[in-house]
Amino acid sequence: MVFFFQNLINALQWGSFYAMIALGYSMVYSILMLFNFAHGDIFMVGAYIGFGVATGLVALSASGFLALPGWMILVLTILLSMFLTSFVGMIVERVGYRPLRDAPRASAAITGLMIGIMLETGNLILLGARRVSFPPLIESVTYNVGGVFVTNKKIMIVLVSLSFMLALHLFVQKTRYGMAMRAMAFDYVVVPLLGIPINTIARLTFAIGSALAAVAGILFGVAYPVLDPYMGIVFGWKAFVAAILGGRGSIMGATLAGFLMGFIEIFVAMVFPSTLRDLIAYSIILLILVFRPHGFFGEPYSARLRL
Amino acid sequence: MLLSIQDLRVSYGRIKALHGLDFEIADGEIVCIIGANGAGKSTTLRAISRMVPVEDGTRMTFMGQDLLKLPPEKVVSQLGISHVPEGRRLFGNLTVLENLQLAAFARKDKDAINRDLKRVLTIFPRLEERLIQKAGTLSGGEQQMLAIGRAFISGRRLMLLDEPSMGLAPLLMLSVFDALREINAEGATILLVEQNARLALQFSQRGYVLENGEMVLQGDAKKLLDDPAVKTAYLGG
Amino acid sequence: MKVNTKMITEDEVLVIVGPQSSKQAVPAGDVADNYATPMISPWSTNPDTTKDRPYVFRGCFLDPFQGPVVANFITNEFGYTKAAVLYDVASDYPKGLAEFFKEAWEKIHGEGSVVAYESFTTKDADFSSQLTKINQSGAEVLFTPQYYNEVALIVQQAKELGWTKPIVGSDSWGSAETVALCGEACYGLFFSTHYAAAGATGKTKAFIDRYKEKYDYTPDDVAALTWDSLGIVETAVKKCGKITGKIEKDRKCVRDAMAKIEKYAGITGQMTFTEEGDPIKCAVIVKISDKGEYEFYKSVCP
Repeated sequence: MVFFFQNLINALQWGSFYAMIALGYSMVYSILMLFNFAHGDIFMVGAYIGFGVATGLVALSASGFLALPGWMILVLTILLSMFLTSFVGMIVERVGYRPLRDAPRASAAITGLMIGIMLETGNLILLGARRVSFPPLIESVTYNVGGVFVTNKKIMIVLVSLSFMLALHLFVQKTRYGMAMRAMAFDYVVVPLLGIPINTIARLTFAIGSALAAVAGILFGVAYPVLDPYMGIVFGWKAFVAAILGGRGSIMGATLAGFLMGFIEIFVAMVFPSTLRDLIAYSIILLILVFRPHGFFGEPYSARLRL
Repeated sequence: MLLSIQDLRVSYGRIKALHGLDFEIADGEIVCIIGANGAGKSTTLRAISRMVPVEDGTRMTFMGQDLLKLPPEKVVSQLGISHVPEGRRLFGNLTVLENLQLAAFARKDKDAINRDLKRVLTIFPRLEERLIQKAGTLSGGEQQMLAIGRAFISGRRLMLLDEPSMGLAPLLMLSVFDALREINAEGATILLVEQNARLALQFSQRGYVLENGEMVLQGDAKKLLDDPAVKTAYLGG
Repeated sequence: MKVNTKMITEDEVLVIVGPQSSKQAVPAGDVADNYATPMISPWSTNPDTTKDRPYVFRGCFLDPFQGPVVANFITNEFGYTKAAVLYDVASDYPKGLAEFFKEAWEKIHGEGSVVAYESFTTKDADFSSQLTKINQSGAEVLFTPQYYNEVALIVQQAKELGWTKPIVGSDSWGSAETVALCGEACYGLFFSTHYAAAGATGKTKAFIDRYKEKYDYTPDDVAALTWDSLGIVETAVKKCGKITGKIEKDRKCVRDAMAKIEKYAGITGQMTFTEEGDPIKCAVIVKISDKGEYEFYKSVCP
C-alpha cells in the first residue's frame, strides 16, 4: 500500500509536467490546426529563461540590494519568465507560422521542427554545451507520512500546475478571448466574419501556451535541477502524444491525458522491469488510440479550410 | 451609394470566377443576386467581406471608404458589413448564447450589445428557449435564425446572406424572410444570393442575374420576375 | 593517423605515449602495432586499443575492472549483502559497468543478492519509480555508474524519497561538475576512480605539488596517468641499456622490457602488464568530502 501511494505521489508530479506542456501543444493544435513541434523547445527556453531570471534575482538578493525570501524569488521568476517566454512564442508564431497559415500542414509542421533546432542550437551558441544547475530557491523539506515520502517541492509543483490548469480552463470557458479560441478550434475560417482578428487570437494562443511551458520549465528546474539544451525534445514528443490522446479542442482532455501518461509511465515501471517501461507504456497508449482514435474528448472532425 | 463595386474580378488559381462585375447597393435596399450553381454568387459575397483576394483593377467602396484596404475582421467591425456564409457555419461546440456573444467580440458598447441581444431574441423567440444549448444541436431552421442573429449583432449596415433558404421547410423559410424584412425595416441593408430565384425576387426590391461570372441582367425585382429569359432559366418556365 | 604514421616512419620515434581518448587510441594503436612500434595510451579504457596488439599498452585499468573493485569495497567497508543498481540501459559505459558489478556482487554474496536492478533511458530526468522500487527492495546500498548530470538527479531524488543509505559510483562521477550540480546531497558518497588529488601521500603528493607549482592547478587523472606512462617508458628504455641506433631492434627491446615490468610503483598505483598490455593495478576509492572535494579514501586491489 505504501508502495502504491509513493508511486501515486511520484506520478502526480511527473504527470503535472506532461499535462502542462501538453496544454500548450493542444491549444495550438486545436485552435490553429498546427502541430507545433517547437513546443518542447519553448519549454526548454522557458526553463533557461527561468534559470536566468532566478540566478539574477538570487544574486540581487545576495547583494543585499533587495533581500527577498526564496519563495518570493520563485514567484517572481515564474511571473517574469512567463512574460518573457510568451514573447518567444509570439515571435515563433509571427516568423514561423503566420506566413504558412494557408500552406500545406506538412510545411507548417517541418517549420516547427526547424524552429526547434534553431532554439536548441541558439542555446548552445549562447551558453555553450554545458548543463546548468537551477538554483535551489526553496529549501527541500521531506515529510514522512506513514512511510510515504513527500517533499514540499512536490506538493508545490502539483498545486501550482493544477491552479494554472484551472485558470486556463476558466479563461477559455468564461472570457470572450477564450470563446474566440474555442470558436477557432471549431471552424477558424469563419471567425473573421464576426469581426474577430484571427492573428490576435493566434498570437494569444502561442503566448499562453508558451507562458505555460515556461511555468512547466521552472517547476521542472525546481524538481530536476539539471537543465540541458535538448531537454525539450522528449517532452515535445510526449506532449504531442498527450495532446492527440486528449482529443482535439479539449483542454480538459490534454490535461487528463498528460496526467494519464505520467501515471502509466510510473506505474508500468512499478510493476514491470524498468527496462520495458516505455515499450509497455506506449503500447498501452497505442491501444487506447486504437479504440478511441479521436482521443478522449475529441470529436470526429473534418477541417473545412475554406469558406 | 452605400456599396459600389466596379470591375470585380476574382480567380481561384487559373480558373476565373468573376469577370468584372459592376453593381451598387443603396442604403436601406434589399437586393438579390440570382444565378445557377457555380455562377459566382458566393464568390461575390466573399469578395465583399474580403475573404477571397480580388485582382488588380477591382474597386470596391463602402460609404466612400476603400474596402480593399481592410482585412476581413475590420470589414465587419469598422464598416458593419456582416456575412452569413453558405451552410451557416455556426460554432457547433459553443452554446447559442456564446455564438451570439462572440458576434459582439469587437464591440465595446455594452448597453447596445445587450439591446441587440434582446432584439434578436424577440425576432427569433425560439432561440431564447435554446440559449444554453450547443449550437450544433439546433434544427436547420433554428441554425439559420442563429446565423442571422449573429450577423445582426456583429454588424448590420449591410448584411450579406448566402442562401438563407437552403434546407428549410417552406413555412420556416417564410418566417425567416419575414424576420429579415423586419430587420431591414429597422435600417439594415440586405444583399442576398439565392438559388431559389422566385423567393429571392419576391423578397427583394432589385435583382441581379449572374451567369458564369458575369452580370447578364439587372433591374427591378418585379420586372425580373416577369422577364421571359429569367422565367425560362430560373423560375421553371 | 597520418601524424602517427609520420612519427613512426619519418621521425623514427622509439616509443609513443598517447593518444588519450579511445576514439584516437584505437586506430593509433593499429598503426603502431603494424609498424612494430611500442605505444602506451595513458587514459584509453576501450579494450580494443590493446586487444591482439603486442606493441600497444595502456596506463589505466579497463571498465570491467571497476565492477569487482566497487563490489569488494562495499563488502569490506560496510559489510552489506544486498545491493541495488540503477543504470542507463541506452548507454554503453553504465550498462557495461552495471553488468560487471552485478556479476561481481553475486559472486561474493550469491545469486539474487542484487535485490533491485533498475534501468532508465538517456535523457530521463525522473527516477522516482525506479528509486521507489529500490527503496522497497531492502537494498542496503545503491550503485549507479552514471555521468555527472544524472548523478545529481538520482542522488537528490533518492534523498527526497527517503533513501538514507550509501550511494556508490564509478570513475564517471569524477568530473568537477558532479558536485557543482549535485551540491550537498552528494557529500559523503564514494566512487571508484584512477587517482585522487586531495589527500594524496608520498610520491603522488610530490607529483601533485610539483605540477601545481609549474601549472598552477591541480592535475587531473589524465595528467597523473600520463606521468605514470612516461615513467614506465623510461624504466623500459633504461632496462634495454644503450640504444643501438638500429630502430627496429631498439623498438623490440623497449616493447619486451615494458611487457616484463613488474609492480611498477606509479603515482596512480602499482602496475604489472597482462599479456594484452593492460595493467593489473589498484583502483582508488574517492570520498566526496564535506567541502565537496574528491578525497583519497583508500586503494582497492582486485
